[in-house]
Amino acid sequence: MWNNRKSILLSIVCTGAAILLVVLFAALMPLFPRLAPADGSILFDPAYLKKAMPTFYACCLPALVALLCLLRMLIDIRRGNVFVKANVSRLRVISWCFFALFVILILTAVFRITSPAIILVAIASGFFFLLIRVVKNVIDAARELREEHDFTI
Amino acid sequence: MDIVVNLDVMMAKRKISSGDLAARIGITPVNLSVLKTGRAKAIRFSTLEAICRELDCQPGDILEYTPEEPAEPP
Repeated sequence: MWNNRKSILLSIVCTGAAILLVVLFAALMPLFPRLAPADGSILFDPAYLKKAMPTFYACCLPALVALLCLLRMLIDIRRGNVFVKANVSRLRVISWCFFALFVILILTAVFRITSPAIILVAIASGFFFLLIRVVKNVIDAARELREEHDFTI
Repeated sequence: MDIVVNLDVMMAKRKISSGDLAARIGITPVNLSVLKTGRAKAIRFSTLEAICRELDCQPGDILEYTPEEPAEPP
């Protein structure tokens, strides 16, 4: 029977897998230009991959930080600690990670690779930055309400 | 906070232990401790009523308003 606990466990597993993928991606990145098949697609163009590599690496760091925060948050949620200060702080960190991604991608689009895809991902990152900040504010308000409820005797 | 809880004073006057009072008013000793130490954010009328009944006192004997002195400007 599917329940909330299993759902959280699935989220933890998916987040763990995403962390592993980011680490693998970063480790195997230098090999991509050599392994890329010459099929004419820009995504497999070794010159493009080499040009995009600093951006990929710069994006890996905030992505990893955000995923680790997400993992710790999910572990806390599994323990029943949802509306706690630590989760609010983690959401704040995650939102700033998205802002960092937004800045990195915008700078890449302006100075290195002018690609609509990169601009789109940058806009999406900026949107997620705002979205997660709102969620953070909601969780913080809920934490205050819960604290007040817990300390009403 | 400007509200001081004098529950321990009244309990000492009535010679009643925390565990005993908690059991009589129907709250946990942990919550009574929260109330006694001034960490509580609010108190229900039902709890206040039960405390006043068991300690035979008025709400003013338990709660006291003492304004905090404003901080000195730097």
